[in-house]
Amino acid sequence: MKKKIIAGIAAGIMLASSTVGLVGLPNPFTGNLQAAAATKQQLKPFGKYKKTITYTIGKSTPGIPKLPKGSTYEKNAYTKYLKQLLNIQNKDSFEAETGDSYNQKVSMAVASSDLPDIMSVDLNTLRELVANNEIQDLSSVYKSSTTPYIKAMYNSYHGRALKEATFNGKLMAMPSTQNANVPTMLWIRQDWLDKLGLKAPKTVDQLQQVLQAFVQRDPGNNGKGNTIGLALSKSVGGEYGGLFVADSLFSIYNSYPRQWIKQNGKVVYGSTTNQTKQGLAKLASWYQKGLIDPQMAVRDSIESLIISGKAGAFFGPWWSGDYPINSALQKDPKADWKPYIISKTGNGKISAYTQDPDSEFYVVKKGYAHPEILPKIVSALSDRLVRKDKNYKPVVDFVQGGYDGGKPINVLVNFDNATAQMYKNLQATVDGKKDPKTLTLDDTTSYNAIKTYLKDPKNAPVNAKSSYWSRMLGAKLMATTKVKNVDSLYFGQTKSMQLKWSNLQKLEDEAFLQIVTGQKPVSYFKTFVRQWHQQGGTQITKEVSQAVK
Amino acid sequence: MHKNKGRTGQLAYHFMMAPGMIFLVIFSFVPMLGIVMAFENYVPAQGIFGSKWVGLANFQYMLQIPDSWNILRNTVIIALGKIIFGTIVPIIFALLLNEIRLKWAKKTMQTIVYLPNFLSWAVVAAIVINVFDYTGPINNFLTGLGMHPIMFLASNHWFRKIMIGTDVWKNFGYGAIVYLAALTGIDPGLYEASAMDGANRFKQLLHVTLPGILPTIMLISALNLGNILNAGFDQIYALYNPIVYETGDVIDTYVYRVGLLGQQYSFATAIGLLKSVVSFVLLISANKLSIKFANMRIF
Repeated sequence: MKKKIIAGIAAGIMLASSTVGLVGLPNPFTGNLQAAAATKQQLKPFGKYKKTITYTIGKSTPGIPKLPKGSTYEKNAYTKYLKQLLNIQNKDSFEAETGDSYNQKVSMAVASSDLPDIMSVDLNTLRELVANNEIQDLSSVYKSSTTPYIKAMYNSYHGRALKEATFNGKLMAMPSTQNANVPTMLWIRQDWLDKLGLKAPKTVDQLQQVLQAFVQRDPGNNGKGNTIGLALSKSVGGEYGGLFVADSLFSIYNSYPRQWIKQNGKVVYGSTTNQTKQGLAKLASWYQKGLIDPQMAVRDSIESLIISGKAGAFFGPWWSGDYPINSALQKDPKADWKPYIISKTGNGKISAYTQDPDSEFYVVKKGYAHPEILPKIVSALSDRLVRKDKNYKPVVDFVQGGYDGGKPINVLVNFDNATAQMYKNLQATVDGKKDPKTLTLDDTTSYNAIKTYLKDPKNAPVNAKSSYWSRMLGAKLMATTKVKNVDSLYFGQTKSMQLKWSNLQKLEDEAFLQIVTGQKPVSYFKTFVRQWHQQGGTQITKEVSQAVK
Repeated sequence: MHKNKGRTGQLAYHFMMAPGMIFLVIFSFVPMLGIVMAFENYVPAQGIFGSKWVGLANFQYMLQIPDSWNILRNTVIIALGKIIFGTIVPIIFALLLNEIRLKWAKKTMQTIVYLPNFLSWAVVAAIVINVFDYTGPINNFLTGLGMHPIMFLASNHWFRKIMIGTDVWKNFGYGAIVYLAALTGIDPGLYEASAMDGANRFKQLLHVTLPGILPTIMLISALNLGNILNAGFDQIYALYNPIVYETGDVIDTYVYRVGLLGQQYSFATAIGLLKSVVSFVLLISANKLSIKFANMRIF
């Protein structure tokens, strides 16, 4: 008898320890422990609290930790500013690097129903949180506690920006807006081009020749076989305005991977089109010739290739000068990166898909007594601090020191045409047509850096250089390049996607990477498309067509 | 009087066992309620009792996607490889180490091979990535011999072998300790007797040492059978990439990606449950077999 019991227990242990059951027992401690709601005075955008209000956040931190020495994400120039202005203080429930690690933390928080008071989530998670009634309606606090300037920025998207965060007429989140950020451009080592006596590439074929020359002639003295032509991300393409993805190349073939687009009057998934096959075939041929990072499939940090001076080119957005090129310059001040536009015929005319106007959504946990704190922080950091208080010393020092990641809540709100406008303002100021005093904090900082750069371009300090490259070269290309917009139609999740999308994405990631790295021939694309349709793609395409009608 | 004393004595033991039992109930039994999620469309906020019941829908979908078989195959192959080599290598190592007469050399070596066991896979993975890098020592050696460098971790041919190999490397020191302990339990009189009968060292190994540690080997292999579907999450998660999903994606990594990152809690639980059931059946049959053939109970 006893033996049986022991056997039972032992079996239980085995079963339990090998069960990967994800348990989500309701948490009894999520009640409302906060004090009474805010007064009318405190609901004003800059209304200060008598007692310090503490709020917990999920903090997403920048890729390379760049806080000044002695600062933490809970105690730095920005948190000090918020404390002084509003008497509020953040406490970080978790801190994780932006991207996968942060998303994983959010998934964990959602799965365990243990949310911080304020955090940023993606669209799918937002929908889930709304459906599950876990976050607050922000409609009234948005009205009462947001400044007109912030509202004007949200409104510059003609209602698109807040639409995604609105459910049944209720505003459930404050989104970070994504002002237009295309086209991404080709960033290339100008010093390598010069050394080899090559012209900057304008077409795909010219780019191929340049990459070939980089790899064969090793202008960076990396040693034979160590120079990498093009640095490319594992995801290959389909990240709007993304770093290290080849969207600029795909768009030349009229391919828009991972986007729902209209083709010949029908809604199709961009990854399954013949045009995408052409783009992949080109990349595969480059990979085979050794022009693309041979270790792209297992490369953890592509930045390290740029920083160590091994790679000669990559596709990236206008701000690539600030990251990762800034870090590359710190290692090697001679690394001279310049942005160019690659187009089909070399005339500089390109196409690009449009994006979701919102990149992330800041939500407030249900039951938190001070939901107004979110619009107040946005108003403080994206309005007052960059305009009225733009000379606030600690933050000025922070920004000019090239530091990043200080804002506890980084809701990025901007006008839709912000980047092009920024370039135009800066250019006008440099030309003496605009008073430097009228610039915002960020632009003033950039303007000072640009001035420093223009005095002595060759020996300018790193931050001045990278600032000039991003804002005067990268942003200029954005402002001046002719772009034909292809509308990306759908960003949400349909019913069938819930169960089947992960699997289809896996199929897609696998196929893209295998085709590019030559593990599967280009003809495998057909098999991939067939499998994609069989395993739910057809049904999902139907649902998306319905949804965008 | 006597009887009473016995009972109080037992009570003390029960108290000593209590913390462990409470731990077991809280962390192993209570979470098993989560299995219900496999039959629901689980939504965290609605909780286990509020979510919609969908019956076997999650299991049906699991059988539909071709990935399921692929993942099951990967899991079994990798886990079997780890169990087989993870048993043989430590035994051989323990036997060899046992033959060393210099005590300090024996101890030092034992400690050194035991070291990697303490490192987390995140650390070991970084080492593995560097060793198998395009410009790492192994590929340098290969190119030195005039061969082409191989991208080991992005090769469906090599990935499983590397998973098994590195896992054995990391853990064999620990396994060896168990066998070394078993070796010390063998009566030295047996060795003397066999030497008297003219057995050389090899014959002694064959006829005294191996039979001596056989029960330990049996026990450990049988217990390992329960792990046949545990191919090692941390290791594979730290080392895989989309190219080797084909050969390297195992149940645990799939459940993690789909379940937690893809937020399909129910589907992931269904897969996890199936895994547990298979492990359970295997363990029971291992016990039955071991009773029948070796006359030994695991439990």
